[in-house]
Amino acid sequence: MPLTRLLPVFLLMLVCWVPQASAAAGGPRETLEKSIALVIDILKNPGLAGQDKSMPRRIKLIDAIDGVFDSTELARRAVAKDWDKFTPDQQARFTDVFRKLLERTYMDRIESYTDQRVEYLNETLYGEDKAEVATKVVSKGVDIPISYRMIKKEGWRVYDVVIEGVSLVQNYRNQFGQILMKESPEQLIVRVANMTAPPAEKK
Amino acid sequence: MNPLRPRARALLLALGLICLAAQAAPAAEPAGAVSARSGGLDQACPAPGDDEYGPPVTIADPLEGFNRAVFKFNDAFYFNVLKPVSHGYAAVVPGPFRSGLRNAYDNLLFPVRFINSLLQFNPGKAANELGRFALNSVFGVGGLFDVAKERPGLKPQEADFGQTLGVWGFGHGFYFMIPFLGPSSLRDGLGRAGDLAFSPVTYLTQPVTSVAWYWSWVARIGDGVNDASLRQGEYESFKNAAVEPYTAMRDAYAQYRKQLVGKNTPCFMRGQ
Repeated sequence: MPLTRLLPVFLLMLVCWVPQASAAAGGPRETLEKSIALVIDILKNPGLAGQDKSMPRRIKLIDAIDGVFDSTELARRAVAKDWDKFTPDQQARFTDVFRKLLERTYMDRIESYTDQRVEYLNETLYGEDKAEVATKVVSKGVDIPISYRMIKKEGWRVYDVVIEGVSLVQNYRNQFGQILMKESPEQLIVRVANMTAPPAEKK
Repeated sequence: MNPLRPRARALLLALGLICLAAQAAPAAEPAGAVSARSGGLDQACPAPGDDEYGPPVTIADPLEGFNRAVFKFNDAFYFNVLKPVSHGYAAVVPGPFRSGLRNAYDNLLFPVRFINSLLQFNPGKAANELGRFALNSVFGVGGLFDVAKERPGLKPQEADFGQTLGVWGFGHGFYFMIPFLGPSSLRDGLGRAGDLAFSPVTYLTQPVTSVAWYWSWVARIGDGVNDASLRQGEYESFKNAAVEPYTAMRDAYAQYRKQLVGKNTPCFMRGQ
C-alpha cells in the first residue's frame, strides 16, 4: 500500500495540531503566569538579596516587568480623550515618564512582599484581542483580588491592573483629566517626571 | 486520480471530528480547570463584562472646597501626629501583640458585620461571620488570633451599613471627607452612624457597663493608633504613586466601594 494514501491524513493532523500548539503556549494567562513567575524568581533569588544587591535586582525586575506591560497602551488609556492633544513626541516622552512612575510604584509594592502566593483564577476573553485574567494574592491568610487586563498585539501584554476593584488606568485617568483641564501636556510631563526624578534634577 | 476509498474517507472524517473536538474543548474552558473560586456572590451571577468601556465610576463632589481642606488636614494630622505616635508605639509594643489587638477589636465588631450580612439578604455571608466569631472567640483566645482565616470558607470579609444601603440601591449622594477618618460619602457616612448602634464599643459606657464614658473613645482611638502601626508606609506609597492625591483618593474610594457593593448584591437585586 503506497504511503501517499496516508498523506491527506498527515496533512489534516498537521492542520489541526499546529494552531492548538501555538494557542496553548501564548494565551493571556500563560503569558502572565510566566512573567509573574520570573518576578518571583528574582525576588527569591538569594544571590540578589540584600541591600547591596538592590540595584542589579531592580534592573532585572524592571526587565521582567517591562516584558509583560504595554506601557504605550497604559499611557494612552490613562490620558484617554486628551491623548490627541499630545504631539507624537510628547506622547513618547509621556509614555516614558509614566512607565518610570509605574515601575517605581510596582517595585515599592513587590519588594515588601515576602510570604505571599499568587493564585490564578479564571481567564475571560473579550473578543479576539482582549482578555482579563483574575488572580488573587494570598498574604497572611488574606486574599487580595488582582485582575490583569490584557491586549494582544504581537503577544499578550497587560494594559490595566485592577486591585480590589480599583482600576489603575481609571485612577490615573481621573488625575490626568483634572490636571489637563488647567495645564498643558508639557506641564503634565514635567509633573510626572518630577515624581521619579532624584531631588537634584527636579524642575 | 480516483477518489479515496470509503474506508480512508471514514478514517479522515473520524480524524477530523477528533480534532474538532480537541479544539472545542479548550475553547469551552479557556482557563483550564482553575475555576474553583470560593465564596462571593459575583461568581454566581453572569459576568459583569469589561466595565472599562462602560460609564466610568464617578462620585459627585459638590463640597470639593471643604473636602480638599479636610484632606489637607488629615494629611497633616497623619504626618504630624498619627505617624509619630503609631511608630513610637510600634517601637515599644511587639508586632504579634499589636495584630492580636487588631484581631480582637475586629472580632468585637462582629454584630455589625453579621447584621449587615442579613440586611444584604446574604445568609451565607452571615453564616461565615457567625463561624468566624465562634471559632475565633473560642479557639482564638477571645479573638486575639484569627484562626478562622486559614479555612477557605471563613476568610475575613467586610460588611457595613453604607454597603447595605448600596445593595438596596442607594447611591453615594456626594463625596464627603471625614476629619480624622478619611474618605466617605453621604450614604457611607450615614452608614457609619447606623453601624454605631450595633457596635459593642458604643455600649462601653455607663448604663450598660460601669466604666466611665470616655472608655469607648479610648478603645476607638487606641484601635486607630494600633491599626496605623500595622499599616506603616501604606499612605506614603499611595501618595508616592499619585500625581493628584486628592483626586486619586476620591476615585479609588468610589471604585472600591462600587466593587464591594457590586459583589455583595444578590443576583435577584441586580440590574434594576
